[in-house]
Amino acid sequence: MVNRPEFQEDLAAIHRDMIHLGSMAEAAINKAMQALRENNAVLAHEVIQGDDAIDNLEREITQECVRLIARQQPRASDLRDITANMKLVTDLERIADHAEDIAGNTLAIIDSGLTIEIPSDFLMVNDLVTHMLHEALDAYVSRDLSLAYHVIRTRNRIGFVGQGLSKLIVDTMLDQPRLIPALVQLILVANHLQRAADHTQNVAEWIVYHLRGTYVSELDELPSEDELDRRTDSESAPSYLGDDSDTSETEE
Amino acid sequence: MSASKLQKFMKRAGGTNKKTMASSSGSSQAAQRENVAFAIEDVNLFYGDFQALKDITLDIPAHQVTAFIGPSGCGKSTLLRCFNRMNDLIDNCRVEGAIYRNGVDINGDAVDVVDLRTHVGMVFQQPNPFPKSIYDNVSYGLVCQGVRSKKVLDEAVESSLKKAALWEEVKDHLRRDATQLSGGQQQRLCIARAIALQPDVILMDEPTSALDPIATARIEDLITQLKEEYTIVIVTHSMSQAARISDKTAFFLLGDLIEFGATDDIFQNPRDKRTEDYITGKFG
Repeated sequence: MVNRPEFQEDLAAIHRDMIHLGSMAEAAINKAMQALRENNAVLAHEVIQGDDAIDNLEREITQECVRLIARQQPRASDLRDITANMKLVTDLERIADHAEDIAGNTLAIIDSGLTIEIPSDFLMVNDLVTHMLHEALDAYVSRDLSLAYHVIRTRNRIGFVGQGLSKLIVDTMLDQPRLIPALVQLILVANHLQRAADHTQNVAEWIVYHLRGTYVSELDELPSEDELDRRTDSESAPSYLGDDSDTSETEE
Repeated sequence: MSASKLQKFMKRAGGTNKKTMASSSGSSQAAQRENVAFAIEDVNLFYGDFQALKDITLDIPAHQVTAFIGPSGCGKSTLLRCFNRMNDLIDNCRVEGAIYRNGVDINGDAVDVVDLRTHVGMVFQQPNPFPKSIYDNVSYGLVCQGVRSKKVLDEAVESSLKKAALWEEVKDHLRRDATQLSGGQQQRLCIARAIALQPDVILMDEPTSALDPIATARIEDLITQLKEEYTIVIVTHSMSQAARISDKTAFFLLGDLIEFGATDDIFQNPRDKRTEDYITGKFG
């Protein structure tokens, strides 16, 4: 017999809402970057208009977490679960904010009337961030410690590529000064992507905190792959969607 | 105690309530609202010269769990005992004001207290099974009411034990002495005993304070299930328990009702500073 079934159901409802919020944030980033690539003002406006729903869901989840703490006095892994979700929800909402900002940058580029080519490295950063976010959400759904650590490692690669990207855009500015109003927006987009990657890393770190009760502070503290394999064998936890859930739908 | 003796005791304890000064003039509109199990209006209660409850007015919602919290001596158990007139058993106790149930003031002279206590069951701090078999404990109230049909009694015992989440543990040992059950099982048996009389309301006076955490969790789960069918009013010293299981919470202090509202509000954003101070442990 499972004790406190009402509490467990309330906790599961938070998990479901978090997964929904994560998918909304992921969709917002993807749509914002599609709007940028395609110079599509309609898509950009859709991203901006969709942010209110994300903000509302963030507040609802936060309120529900506070309510559960006040009423159920969660302990141990339950307490870490709710605490991690209260942090995660902010990171996911901020990722959606960056998507909204990217949509705003896209509209500014369109309004400038200038046509710029999006560098291929830029699209690579975009792919890395969205892939990283997707994996972080998969790690959340399946409580996959190994995948969470993998996401944290991926963040470093984005940092290196991002530095090169800024230099590339500045070089283009020097060559074609008339494009500067649009290229400035592109630099801002690059910054938003990097910040989205930071928040995605946070998502992965809070998953580690929930599952292991430890904070991830430095990359060099990450366990080796062998060590991870051993830990995940012994620390395996059921999926947030239940033991029988099929998470393959969320995999690329 | 035999059934006949118990009936005599209940009649003596609950006969015409001469100590009561409550109005019996009829019903109030508030009392007849739907979804209100008890409408309490301006209740004052005295033990001799000492006033234990002061101008208490609140509605106890039906089919919800209402928790009474507050420091010792605040009057929460006293008010709970008003709902089935257990205070009638105290010699110098005097009640003023009205407590309406189904539009009728339960302190009125015409109210049959035995009937009231049939519909308003009670579970106490210490599990108090009779020194009889499990079966006899659950069927006792019905036997007192004159039910003799074994089929009816069997069905009532099984149904009550199932609702009290005890059936699976005792179904093969119904003739076993109830006092041999664990503390948590004894308390669930007492709940089954109350349920057997098909009450509308179950009053619980610190029902888990004598139980270990696991038995407490089972009783709390049971309370959550029972509210679908019954109105539950619980007095608890455990604020965390009130937070976990109740829908409404009333905070009492020195006989005054300080604050009454949704448990979500009381434990997240209480309106009164005294409530805030109590639930945050600043006094009590």
